[in-house]
Amino acid sequence: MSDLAQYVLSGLSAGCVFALVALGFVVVANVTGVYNFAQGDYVMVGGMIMVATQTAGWPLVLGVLMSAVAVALVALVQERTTVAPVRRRVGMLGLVIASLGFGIVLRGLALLIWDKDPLSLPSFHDGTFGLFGARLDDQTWFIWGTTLVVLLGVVGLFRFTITGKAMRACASNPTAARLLGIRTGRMSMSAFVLAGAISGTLGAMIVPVSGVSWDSGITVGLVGFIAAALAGFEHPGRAVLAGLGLGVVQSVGAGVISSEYRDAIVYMTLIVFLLGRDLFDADGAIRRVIAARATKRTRRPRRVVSRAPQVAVAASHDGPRFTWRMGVPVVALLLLACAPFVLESGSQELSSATFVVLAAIAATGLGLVMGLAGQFSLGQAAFVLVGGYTVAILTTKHGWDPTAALLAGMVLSVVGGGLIGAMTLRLQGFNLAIATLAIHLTLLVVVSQADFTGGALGLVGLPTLTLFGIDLTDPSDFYWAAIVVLVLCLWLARNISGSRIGQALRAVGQDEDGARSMGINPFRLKLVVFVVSAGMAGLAGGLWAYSLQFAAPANWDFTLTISLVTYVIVGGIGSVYGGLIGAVVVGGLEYWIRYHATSGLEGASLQWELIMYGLLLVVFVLFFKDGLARAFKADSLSGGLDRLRRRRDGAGATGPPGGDLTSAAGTTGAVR
Amino acid sequence: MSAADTTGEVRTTGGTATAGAAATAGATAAPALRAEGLRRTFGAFVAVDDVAITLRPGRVTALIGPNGAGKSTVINLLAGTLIPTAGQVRIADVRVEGLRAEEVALRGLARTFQTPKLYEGMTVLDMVMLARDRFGRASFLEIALSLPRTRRDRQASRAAAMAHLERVGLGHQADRLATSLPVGSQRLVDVARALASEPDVLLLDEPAAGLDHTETHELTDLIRAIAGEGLAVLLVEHDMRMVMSVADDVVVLDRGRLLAGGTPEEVAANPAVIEAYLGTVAA
Ligand SMILES: Nc1ncnc2c1ncn2[C@@H]1O[C@H](COP(=O)(O)OP(=O)(O)OP(=O)(O)O)[C@@H](O)[C@H]1O
Ligand SMILES: [Mg+2]
Repeated sequence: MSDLAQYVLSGLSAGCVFALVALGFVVVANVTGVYNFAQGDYVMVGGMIMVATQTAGWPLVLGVLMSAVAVALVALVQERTTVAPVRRRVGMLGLVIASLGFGIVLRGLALLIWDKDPLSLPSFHDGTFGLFGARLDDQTWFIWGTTLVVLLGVVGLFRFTITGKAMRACASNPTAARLLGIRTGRMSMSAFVLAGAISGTLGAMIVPVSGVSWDSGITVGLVGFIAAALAGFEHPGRAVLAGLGLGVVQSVGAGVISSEYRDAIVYMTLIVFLLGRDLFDADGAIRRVIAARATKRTRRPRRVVSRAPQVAVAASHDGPRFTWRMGVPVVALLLLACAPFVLESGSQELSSATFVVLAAIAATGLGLVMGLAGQFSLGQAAFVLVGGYTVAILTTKHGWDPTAALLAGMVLSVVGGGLIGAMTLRLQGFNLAIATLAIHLTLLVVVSQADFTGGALGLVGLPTLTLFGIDLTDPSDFYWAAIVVLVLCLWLARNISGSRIGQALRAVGQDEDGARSMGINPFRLKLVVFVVSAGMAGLAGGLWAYSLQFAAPANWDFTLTISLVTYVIVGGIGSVYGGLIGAVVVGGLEYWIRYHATSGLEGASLQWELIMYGLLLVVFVLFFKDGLARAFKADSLSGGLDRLRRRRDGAGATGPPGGDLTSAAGTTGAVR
Repeated sequence: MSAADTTGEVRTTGGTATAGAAATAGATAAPALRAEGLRRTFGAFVAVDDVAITLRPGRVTALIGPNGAGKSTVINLLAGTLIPTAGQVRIADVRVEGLRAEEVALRGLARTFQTPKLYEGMTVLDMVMLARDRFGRASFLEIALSLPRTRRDRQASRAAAMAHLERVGLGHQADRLATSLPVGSQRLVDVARALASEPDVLLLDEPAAGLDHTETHELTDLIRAIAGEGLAVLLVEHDMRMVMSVADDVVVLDRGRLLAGGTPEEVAANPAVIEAYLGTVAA
């Protein structure tokens, strides 16, 4: 009993952090409509500043105040630079990605200033106290007290003050709010400052309990986001309850089940929640089964066969008509394929080039999901990880043939992608991003704990790849094989993008009601694209494992997801080749930093890489939405390709008016 | 190519004589769409209350009523864009209320929107081709691998879309960006798009708004021809002259409730209808 009390009550302290981060999410989302992914990093910055003030010998109160003010300032800077100037130009997805980028910059700066090692502080007040048989640190009082005061303050603000009501009006209808004379800009600023101050204060309070390190904001932010999502981003009170609940779940789970899996338990809560919602929601599976029963649909009487009489279809020009634009990707790929002639076989440079190509494969898939299906995934690296570990386990432990293991990894990713997609793609918003991220972090916990994955050290001793009987032991050969796979994936992506599936998804992206009314099923199309993307990632992961000849959690962690998202954004979200272009340019830059800008020590340049990635994300998503692909005028996911196609297929419809008759009569044979 | 392969060319138009014949026959034909007890609330506001509508093959039913009467809401309810709070909708005797819009569409219902849906970066032809999406025969795998059937699909879809565009008189605009057209033409694109899905039931939400006199006249002929082919048409329209000339039945909606119904002549003579119209906007 006292054990349980201990778990629950200490869980409440962690829960307070989640609760207030969730509150920050809700405040900002309520006022600006933006999900601020930097929220967790605010807590980290608050903690860091608290440590700094205490090291400098400031009084406690001043330290906490300083943390609150400093983080509020950080939030203000974020709002002024990445939200206010671009609100009307950049969509929701862009704003969210920008906030993610801002958070990454904060992480990089923290690493730069405070270094890698976790920092901590003694309790504000030495001593412990007993409650329901549990023994708690006196610091707990400070955390609970802060949470209560903040919560009351925020609820009071939204409920009872004009400012609070005005703030809420901004989110539900900005135009109307502006007409009513509410200054939306100022409200948005206040929301960010408020969220920053809350997180900063709490960050300072929590240091004695949980310490602080440059990356401690990731988990806090994610769990806070989950809590906010459980509250529908709307109700401050509910968000706080959800946050506290998650803290308790985490702590009890850690005590009762296993402390290694404590984060994984929280993420699984989210998965269960999403699954439940998919089943029981108004639009959920169970409701639909009942509806189907009620309307007695045994077989679908779908009209999918045209009644129109058959006539000859005109096809005027057969064969592709080449333009210089189509040549750009070809030339770029050929240049890329020349790398082994320049870089020494077996050198670090060549293996870096190989990783760039593999990342480009995964990014090509991600580009389809983001650019075409209009969905944001934060778990592309999860599928890479699945592919990599499948290959490692099957070859080292079960003696599978390398090719078969590679394919198995891809199939597993596809199945996983199908399941996650089926659960999350029906609902709008950022469910997919959160679910994929949660699953990735869960997988990371599992593979670094479980025996069959070799724990934190991972699995070593993978064989070299022999693909369909071709020996790829030589790094140059392997590199070329990776290029071939990349070309295949680009070709698939191009086909999908230029097809009716691509067109239908573009229509869905612009007006879902209109698209649906034509019989287009957005869910199915998004799912198909997501599954393809997962398959590409799984394939890349398998190849990655063969290239490294080992599988370890650090190979495919959250940093990889960030890299892949950055590649897609920088390369161009609207282009099939965005992922490739981004991988080559940004990935190349990253390896250049790693080898030249620092002493060359692995990891010593991480802070610069983080800052670079964060800044690139923010700058490109906000100011160069079309990415670098625009500069190359490469085939666009948004129409360019189809224009090309049309010219190529050249049906009589778009041909010269006089040509109709002749082509209709003359080229019928060509079609058959 | 199998006989089921999709190609262009719409069915031949019936002409006025056949249209008239079809309409008389349709008066007794089994309904293509039947709605009963339709109700929809937005919060405490009742937008549509206890509305019953029957659409029969070959007949044009006009749905009229003052601004804000709930006409567009009725269309949204029938098409599955909105879910009814209560009531039933059947298409060919299968219940469809509660189904998603795309499922209703695949059961043979097409609709236009009061504000035409336009997709940036798409040409007029692209937009009509969207409605042909469902006729594509290539499987996803064939599409991903760009096998020959994909291209045949695309050509067939293009030809059919073109034929439907020509039918509404916009063949020459096929390659223009839809957003660059005048609003009247945009409406016609929407009509072409609805027709391109080869529906049994067609719901038109104020298709003549923004059209000039000649265009309205052409549209009237087109609607009659469409009905002549056996489609059940629901026409929401403010232009009473058009309603009188094209409708077989008229249903009047006022503040979400049915006010009157019958032939155009009966409705025009109904004092309650005149009152409802004069009470708001003189028509
Ligand atoms: N999504 C919605 N939320 C709240 N109220 C709505 C919504 N859609 C429609 N309404 C209300 O329902 C009523 C009926 O609207 P509807 O658009 O169906 O009218 P209408 O007959 O089509 O009018 P009009 O001739 O102007 O097109 C209006 O008062 C409108 O404000
Ligand atoms: Mg209307």
